[in-house]
Order: sequence, then C-alpha cells, then structure tokens
Amino acid sequence: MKPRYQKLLRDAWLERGRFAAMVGAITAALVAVGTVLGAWAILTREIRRNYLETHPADATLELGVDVDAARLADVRALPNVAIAEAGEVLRARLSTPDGLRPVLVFVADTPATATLAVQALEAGAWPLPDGSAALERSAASLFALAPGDALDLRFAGGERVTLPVSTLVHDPGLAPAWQERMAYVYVSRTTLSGALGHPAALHDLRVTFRDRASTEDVDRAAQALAASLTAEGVPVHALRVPPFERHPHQRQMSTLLLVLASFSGLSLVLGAIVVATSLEALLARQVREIGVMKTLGATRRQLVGAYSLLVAGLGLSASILAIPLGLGGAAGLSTAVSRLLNFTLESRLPPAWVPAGILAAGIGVPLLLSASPILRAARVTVREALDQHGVAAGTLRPWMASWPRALRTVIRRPGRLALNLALFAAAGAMFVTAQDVSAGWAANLAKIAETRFDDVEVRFAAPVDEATLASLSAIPGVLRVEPWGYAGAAFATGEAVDVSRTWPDRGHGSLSLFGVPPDTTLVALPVTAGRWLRPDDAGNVAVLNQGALVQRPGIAVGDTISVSVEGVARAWTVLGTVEEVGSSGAIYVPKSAFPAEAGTAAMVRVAGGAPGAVEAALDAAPIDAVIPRDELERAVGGHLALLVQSLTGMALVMALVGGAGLASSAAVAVIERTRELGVEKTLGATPAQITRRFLAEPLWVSGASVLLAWGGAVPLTLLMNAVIGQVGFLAPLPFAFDAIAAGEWAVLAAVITVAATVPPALRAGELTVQEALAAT
Amino acid sequence: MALVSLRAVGRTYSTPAGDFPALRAVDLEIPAGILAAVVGKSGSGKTTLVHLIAGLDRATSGEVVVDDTSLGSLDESALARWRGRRIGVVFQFFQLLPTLTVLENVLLPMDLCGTFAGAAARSRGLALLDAVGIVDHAHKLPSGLSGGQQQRAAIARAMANDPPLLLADEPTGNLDTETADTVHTLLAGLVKQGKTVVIVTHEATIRSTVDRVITLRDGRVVDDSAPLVLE
Repeated sequence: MKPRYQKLLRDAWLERGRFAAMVGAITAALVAVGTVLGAWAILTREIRRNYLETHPADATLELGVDVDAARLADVRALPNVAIAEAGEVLRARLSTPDGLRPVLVFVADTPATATLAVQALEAGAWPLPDGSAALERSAASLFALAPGDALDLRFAGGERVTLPVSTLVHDPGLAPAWQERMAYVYVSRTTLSGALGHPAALHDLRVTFRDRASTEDVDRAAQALAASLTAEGVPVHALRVPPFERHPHQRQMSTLLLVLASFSGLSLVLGAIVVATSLEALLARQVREIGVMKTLGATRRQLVGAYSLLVAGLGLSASILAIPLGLGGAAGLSTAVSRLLNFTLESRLPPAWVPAGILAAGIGVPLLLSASPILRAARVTVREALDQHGVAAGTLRPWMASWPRALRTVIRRPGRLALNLALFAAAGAMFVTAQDVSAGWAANLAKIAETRFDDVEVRFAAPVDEATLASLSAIPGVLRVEPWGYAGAAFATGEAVDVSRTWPDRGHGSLSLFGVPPDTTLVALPVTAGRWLRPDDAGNVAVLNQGALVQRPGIAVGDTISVSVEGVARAWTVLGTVEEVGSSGAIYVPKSAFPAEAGTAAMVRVAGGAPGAVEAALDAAPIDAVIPRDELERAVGGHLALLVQSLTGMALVMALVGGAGLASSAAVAVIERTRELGVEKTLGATPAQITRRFLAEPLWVSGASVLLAWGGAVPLTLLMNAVIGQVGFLAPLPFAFDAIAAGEWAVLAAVITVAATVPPALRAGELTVQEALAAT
Repeated sequence: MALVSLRAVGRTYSTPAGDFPALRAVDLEIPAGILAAVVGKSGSGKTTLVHLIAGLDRATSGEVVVDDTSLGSLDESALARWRGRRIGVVFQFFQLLPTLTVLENVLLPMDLCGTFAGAAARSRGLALLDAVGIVDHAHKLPSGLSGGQQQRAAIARAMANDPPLLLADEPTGNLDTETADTVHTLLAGLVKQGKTVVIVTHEATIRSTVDRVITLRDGRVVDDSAPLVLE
C-alpha cells in the first residue's frame, strides 16, 4: 500500500474514537433515511398491488332498477366495457356488546365468482355458502368476531337479520374498520333476499372500461354509459368514480412518508456536517503534517484525493452498517403501516434502488459537505501550515471584550459555531415540533367537542316522524333533540349524471347536504370566510365546510353553486365557509330551504342521555347510522400515534447526531488551543479550571441552540401542521406549543452536551505544560 | 552557472501592526556543489530566504530561479511537484510523520512524486537509511528514535528523490553537540557526493566547515563571503 494511504489508515486508527463517532452519526442518519425511503418504496408498491388485486371498479352507476342478468349482458356487449357486474352496498347496524355499530353490507350476485371489488380469502368456507356472511378481517379484529359467530344485523328498513359468519376475507380496497369504526360484511344476492324475506335488488352497476388511463378517461366513458342507459329508459341516480387506481389512503400515506423522508434527509445532512466538522478537526491537527507533505512534493490534488478517499471510506463503512439496519427498519415501518392501513405485504424487501440510494447518499453527502474543509486544508500554503500555532482571534472585535470568556472563545470559529448551532437547533426544533404536532392534533380533536354539542348523531333512511322525536326527548338525561335535514349530494357538473369521487365505502370523498334548524344550539362551527347561517336566513343560501371546498376548489363567498340531490340540481348562494373536524364534504343550508324530496328530518342530533338509551328508543326506526361523538373522536384520533412516534424517533436520531457534532467540536477546541492551555497552565491555571472552561463553552452553544430550536420549532410546526392537517382534516392543525417538550429538549440538550464534552474537557485539564507547549 | 539565483527578491508580510518586510531586495547566487550557511539574528530573514528558495513561500517582488526554474512561473501544484523532485528539506523539529514508520517516511516523497515505486523504492529507502546509519530502525515509528536518529531519518527522506539541492533549517538546533556534529558530517558528506546544501543556522562553529557564509540582517544580505577560518 502506498505510504500516503498507510498514513491515512493509521491516522484514522489513532483517531478511532472520533472516527467511530463520525461513522455512528452517519450510520444513524442513513438508517433513518433507509427506513423511510425503504418503507416509502415498499408501501407505495404494496398498497397499489393490494388495491389493484381487488380489481376495483372504474365506476359504479347507481341505477333505479335491479341490475339483472339481462341488463348485465347488454352492458357487457358495449365495445368500451371490459367487465360489468351487479352489486349493492347497504347500511346496517351490528349489535355488539358496546351497542349498535355501523355496518356496510356489500352484496354481489355470487361473491366467489365476482371479478370486480373482490376480496382475498383469509379463513373459512369459500365459495361463500348461501345463508352466511363473510367478514372483513379488520372488522373481525375490531369487534372480536370469528367464523362460527353470528352477526346480529339491523337494516335501515327495520329488518333484523341474524347471519352466521362462515368466512374471513381481506379487502384492502377499503379503509380499515378500526379507523372507520364500522364493520364490513359480504353476502350473496341469494343470502340477502333469503334473510330479508323478499327479493333483493342490486342497484349498483360496477364497470371497468377498456382504453382508460386516468380518472378523466373513466369519467367520459361512465358518462357515455349513463347517457346510453338513460336513453334506454333506465334511470341512473348517481355515478361514483373514485380516483383512478388509487387506494383511499394512498395520498395520505405518501404525504406522511414524504414528511418523514424530508426529516430523515435533513438528519443525513446534519450527520454529514458532523463528518465535515470532525474532519476539520482532524485536518486542524494535521495541518503541519500537510505542510510537510507539501514540502515533500504532495500536490493539492493528491491531498484532496487522499482525504476524500478517507471520507468515502467513512461513508462506505456507515453505509455497510446502515443498509441492513435501514432495510430492517423499512420492513418494520412498512409492517406497522400496513397493519394500520389493513393491507398485506407480499414482500418486505424494497427495490434495489433503495440500498443503492443509501450507499450513494452515505458516500456522496459526506463527501459533498467535507469538500470545503478538505479544499481549505489542501490550499493552505506550506508556510501557513508550518507556522500554525492555534486558533486565530481575527473574528473578535473590541466591543466583544465585555462578553463572557467562553462566549468570546466560541466566536473565534464562527463557521464551526454556525454549524454546531444549526446541528443542535435543527435536532431540537424537530423534537419540539414532533410534540407540538401531537399537541396540535389533540387540540384539533378537542375542536370536535368545542364545535359540536350533541352526543349522538342519528341518520335515518327516511324522514323521521314526530313520535320518534318525542320518544327521544323523553329519554332521561336528554337535554336537546334537533331534527336536521340530511341527504347524500354531489356537485352538479352539467352532465347527464353528477359524478361523486366516492370509494365503495361511500364515506371517503362523499358530499352531504344538511338542513340546519334555525334555532340550532348543537353546532357552532368556526367560520373561515363569510358567515354562518342565521335564523332569519331563507332561500337557497349555503355554508360549506373545507371537505366540500376540496371537492370543488375555487368556490368563494357570494358564488352560486349547483348541488344535486336525488338527481335534482339546485343553485345555492355561498354565504360562508367553516372548518369542521372529522367530517367529509358537507354543505349546510337553512332547514326551510332543504329539498323536500330528501325529507327535512332525516337526521337527529341528540345531546345528553346514554347512547344505549337513545338506540333503544330508536329500535324500530329506519336507521342508516348512529354516530356517537366519542366514536367519531376515536376514529379521528388513532391515526397520529405512528407519525408522532416516527417524528420523535427522527428527532432523537438528530439529537444523537448533534451530540456527536458537539463532542467533535469540543475535541477540536482542545486540539486547537493546546498551546494556549500550556501558557495558561504555566501562568497557574489548575486542571479543574481548564476542565470547567472547556465544559462551559459547548454549554453556551447548547444554550443558544435551545433558543434557536424553540424559535425554529414555530415555523416547522406551522409547516407540519399545514401538511398533516391537510392530510388528516383538509385544514391546518391549530398551533400548539408544547412547553413541556420544549423544557425536555433543553434538559436533553444539556445532558447530551455535558456527556459529549466531559471526555475532551478532562483531557484538556490533564495535559501537562510540557505536552501542551510541545504541541503543534 | 548558479544553482540558486535570487534577483532583487523581497518578501513582505501583512500583519495587524502593518506590513513587515522580512526580505528586502536580496540579490544572491549559490553555485552547485557547495555547502553554504545562512546566518543572522532571529528575525533577520534566514528562514524566509530558505522558504523562498524551496518554493515553500512566494516572493512579493523580484525573481527566484532554482535549478533553471523560475519559481514564480509555477502554480501551486507544479511547484509542489518540482519541489518534491528537485529540493530536499530538513527541518529543525524533524517533522517526520508520526504515524508512518521511518522507512515509510522515506518512501513518502517517492510515492507523492512517482519517482520510485514498489521494490525499487523500498530498496532505495533502505539504502538511504543505511547511508545515514539508521537502517536498523527502518520499521520503527519516529517516536521510538532519538532526536539525532530522527534528524538522520529526515535527511534520508530529504534525499529520497535524489534532489540536487538540500535545504536545512536549523537542522541541529534541537540536538546536543555530539549529535549535531554527526548531522553536520552527514550534510558535508552529501556535498562531496555532488549535492548542494544550504544550512540555516545560529551556530558560529559551523563556519569552519562550510564553503560560504551568507549573513542576513533586517532582511538584507550584509555579508556573503568565504568563511574566515581562525587558526
């Protein structure tokens, strides 16, 4: 081996502690990057695979007649139709030990032979025996049900049906039951008609088209099909086209992983800064040796090449360590997310570009950030190198004389001070941000209770009568009962049939029209523009929540919108917009203006009273869904834990990286000022005084970084609140500063600083005068 | 023809207290094959003069020509390559690289300049160490050698690429008298082999062993003559 490389290797061995810290810092950051990048690659691939394996329908046309075999044959004969099948989604309630819970009952002619919206068999009998039901696995888990158990179902028409569970299936095309707090049940047409006691009609025509590559293509084809059916006299009530080949949670998952990826990328940059500052330390120690090598004929290129090779070697070592750990982390995170979103991972291995990317980042980023100190060291003239005796004080100004000595000392290296501050401040800002986002999410959840004062929302399949309302009012503890108008709606497009971007669960992407009683006291949504409805409002005026605005961007106060209910479009003037937590698209109109054909009392909000008592009072009523407010809060609240844990994990990685950076800086400070130490010791400084001083300087940096972290956490939290709020609630999360987290970081930063600084500070104190003065 | 030629060479350093002229319009020629001493008080400009000749520093005025090369015309990399091949430098504090063995220190200039490689380099390195009498220590780290042995290793390293000119800045300033004599003898021996050696020194005793004494004061050459040998 060439002597110059032997020198590098032995230098690295002599500085093995610092090199280990550098490798550790880069490895930690690379593991974070690998975990998130790998998880992103795995999950994006797997969620798509899972979703597409269900063969989701491109479009669902809700017809006014039964989709029978003859109808299907006609549709299948159309040139642009690839597959056409009949289906139906019915709302029901499942009796559980905790009360009645919502159920979606998916009906197909014969589930085992269906080719659209299919489920994968998990356990039990298949084909599904007539007279029995299949249960989605996430619902089975949520409600502790298994094959052999019986489902006690109550349909909106009042029918009460008991069906045995014969089969467990996996349906990754739906949001998990534990998120939606509802059950998914699958039955055949025969089972349904047998259970209900009358012929069951399937009104949904599910189709996939040929030659389509986008939602717009599907829209066009579905409209043409609807027009064709309408022309034949078949009423088409609704057209549902979900975003093409996209899982209902795909965008949310990708956005959150992108947030994590950004932070892991930042931690890598910070890790590379540690390498750069540590390398600067090494070069500071070697500056005379560099001068000697230059004297012996070393060119800049040779020096740059040699030290770059050293950094590349560090990066390679870190990458070799990080790749298996990162891939393991990616598998772990993917597994956690896939469980959260109820899909199955076919493979936990990311594509080859992930380890290749870790390797490239592990070598490339440290090289990039080390380029400056390496070039600076290689550019130093032999004379400068040989004359090097310590740190210059050129950055000190006369007016700094009154500053504490430790502060004056750290300011002597403004570049390094800036890097260390940036390193620690970024880690702290992220730590505080993770907790702030969590607090913001909690504050947003609290908004549900702050803006809605009902305890139960009951949606009926038909307008509710006065007797039912009276029975509800009579329940002990009930404080108020408000009948509201409620109907599914769609923004009118001017086409033959209005399109809604709803997935088969009819929740994600849905739009509802609410008729608000003029004297309501149970809802007080915060107004974001214009105003809320007043008791004297009459005519077609409306207030939209952010979920509705997302479906039709650009709507402003004063605009006129066209909304279709039961196929009839009406124009509404927008009075205002409101923010609403835990709701999909909603349009609020005066109850007096609510479309009569949809009924003006299809929903009741009840404040007070035990939920069980409310349900009992409604036992015979045609209920579509009962939504207790605490269930809504549970459904919204459970989504954040993994994100906050991941962000906190990233923050801790960055704290470790920051600690390594401070340790390196403290070591450099000792090296650079060894001669000064010798002079001070000659003048009578004790080892304890020297050690204290070397401890004090990083604590100044740490203290300043904490202030910067607190300040930096504010814009970072606002950014995260905007991104995460948009994903979770279609509106930014409220800003909440978690003072405890801020205090925790201050303590953690001080602990890391002291831990990182004690060894070099002790070393400084232990140096003899002889050693110190002989040092270069 | 002179191996070293300085024409009106000046070197001024900028300091917070103002410009400091370390050398002022120095004209100097050193022929090949002699042992020359540069003497003067501290701050007289001795080290600056040697650094300019070695291409370790650049003149702010005038021209430095060494071995037919005008050093001002070379960029940093070319200057480094030229220096590695044409100049050997010996420092007062030896400046051996502490993590390389003695032999590896000698091999380093050959590696950096690409002059000798592999077995040839190793063989030459051992021969040079043999010539300075420390071949038995070839595989030790510098910290395991005495000061005199380290300086001998530094001389062997300076000769690694067989340069015509060897510059020694206070090479015996850190050594006892007996060891210093040995080092002087070694350097004088190199002159006999045809090399040119320029020594910066404080020591008056060396005047008796050199061919020429160049005396500096306040950055100027105030005396440039053959030594006065006292009987």
